[in-house]
Amino acid sequence: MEMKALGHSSTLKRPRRIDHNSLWYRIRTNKAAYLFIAPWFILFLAFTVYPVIFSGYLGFTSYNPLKPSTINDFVGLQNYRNLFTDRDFLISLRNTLVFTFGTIPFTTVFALLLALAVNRGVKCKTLFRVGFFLPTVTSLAVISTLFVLLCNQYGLISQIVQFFGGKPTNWLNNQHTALLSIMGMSVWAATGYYMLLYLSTLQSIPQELYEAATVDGANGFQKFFSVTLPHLRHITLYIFVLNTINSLQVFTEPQIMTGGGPGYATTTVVLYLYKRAFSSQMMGYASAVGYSLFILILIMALIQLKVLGFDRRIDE
Amino acid sequence: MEKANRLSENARSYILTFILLPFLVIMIYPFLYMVSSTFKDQVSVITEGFNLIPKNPSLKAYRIVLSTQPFLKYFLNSLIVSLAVVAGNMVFSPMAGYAFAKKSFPGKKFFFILLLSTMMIPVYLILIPIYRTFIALEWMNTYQALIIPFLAAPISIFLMRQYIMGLPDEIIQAAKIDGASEIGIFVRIIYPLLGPCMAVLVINTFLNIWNSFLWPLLFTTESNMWTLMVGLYNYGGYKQQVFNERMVCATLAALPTTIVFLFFQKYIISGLTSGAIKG
Repeated sequence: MEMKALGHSSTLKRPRRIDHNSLWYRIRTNKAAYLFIAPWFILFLAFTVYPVIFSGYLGFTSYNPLKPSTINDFVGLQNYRNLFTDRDFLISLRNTLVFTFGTIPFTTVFALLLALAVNRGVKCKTLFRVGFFLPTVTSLAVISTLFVLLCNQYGLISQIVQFFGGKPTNWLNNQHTALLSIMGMSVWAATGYYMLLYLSTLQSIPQELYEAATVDGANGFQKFFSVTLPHLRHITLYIFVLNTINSLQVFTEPQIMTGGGPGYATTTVVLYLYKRAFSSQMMGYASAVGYSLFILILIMALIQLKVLGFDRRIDE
Repeated sequence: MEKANRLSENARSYILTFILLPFLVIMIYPFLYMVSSTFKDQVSVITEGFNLIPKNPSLKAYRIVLSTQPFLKYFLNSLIVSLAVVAGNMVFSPMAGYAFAKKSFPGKKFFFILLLSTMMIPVYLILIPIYRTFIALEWMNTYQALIIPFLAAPISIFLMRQYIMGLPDEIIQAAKIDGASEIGIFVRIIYPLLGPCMAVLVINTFLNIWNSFLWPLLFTTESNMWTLMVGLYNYGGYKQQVFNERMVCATLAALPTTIVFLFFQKYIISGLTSGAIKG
């Protein structure tokens, strides 16, 4: 009784003091900041958080939109288990990996060599920049359509191959060449962008380093290996990670050029997901496909960061 | 000695240019070929091979495409969607970018990590739930389905944050002393300074949305709502082997971005590389 009264009177007597360090105070005085990020945050909740969580849930169901009640059909890890025995999925996974690891080395090496050459001082720099960059600003839908023409039996590619004594074929209709053709096109289309990333890094290397190396008596090769190359490590890692993430999600090119065929020869994981979700209406299963790919991408990115030993530098 | 050095320098860059020229041709030739194919007929587009100048040029393919397909409508749809998304990003991205750059508020780091992580969420992961939602909201075949999700793109916010961080704090302090409100500081002091960065944002957002394919493909099923890319894709499904007409569609779809690129290449290049060269 006494305690209670004491407590009561003491709160009454204490003057109201604003604690400038209290969390609530700092939130209230920063109302404007929350207002400023609110539009993004609302869109983020609606179009990222909700769908990511919901598709995680769907991956554990046998949801088929034609039978709405299946949304409650909890099947546990069955979808994920089925992936391992789904031949079509495994083929599309293989295609995706072949595409990714078959294009990245070429794209990166071409990009680096072209950047080094352009950086050495070519004439008409602008012309080169525009030329190499045009595929990057052009929609993949346009480029893919264009290459359907170039890849037909009598098209440009066949003519070039014939010129060098090869046998023309319908490149996109052939089990053995369809995926290779799409990969070739992707290298062609992507090189310019990565070249530009290399070029902007090359131009940021301080000129004094080269001068110092010259004073120390280094020749061209030594300068390249001791000055240029170390400066390119960070950007090369970035390019590897970015290109891996992009390549594992390849969709537009096979969708337009081959529709995934012939057979499943050019079906990629995202294309497979798209077909399962929106043609076969197996949305639960397709969600599991999506999550598996997402996990694969995360693992790949982490491995690259670890192997190349830049895990700390990336957040600088 | 000095002069000889400069001469050899000059000679070297000519040699380099000469070596690189074939690569430039490989990059540009397909585009020229695409445009020239639009003037060929259905047979010669295949048989004329390397020819850039058609033997019997005609505008027939253009006439057929434009008279059988509502291409003007596709063009308009692409334009409406792209411009609306650009407008949204011009408002919302600087707002959030400013808060992340210049304000310190509880949870800022948390929100910023969320922002960065959104950039890593692949689009296919969200397609199915959003498809369900759009059907429930009756948003299929509407502009808002193509516009609203992209109004405050994380990449634009990040771009703005990087730029605003470089603006001096003193101008904000001075405005505060003059009694400007929080919103007044943003609208009257910060926003007018964003010019160069805004140009990068506008052009890159425009290119991204104009070129997007998967999203409009999935959420528009009626031809009067198709964007150029979806129209281009569906034309291929319907006239698979008629390449001169397909190239007309491709050329019309690529024309606006090519023009934008040629005029604003400086901004485009700095925008696409800005994420990479920081740090």
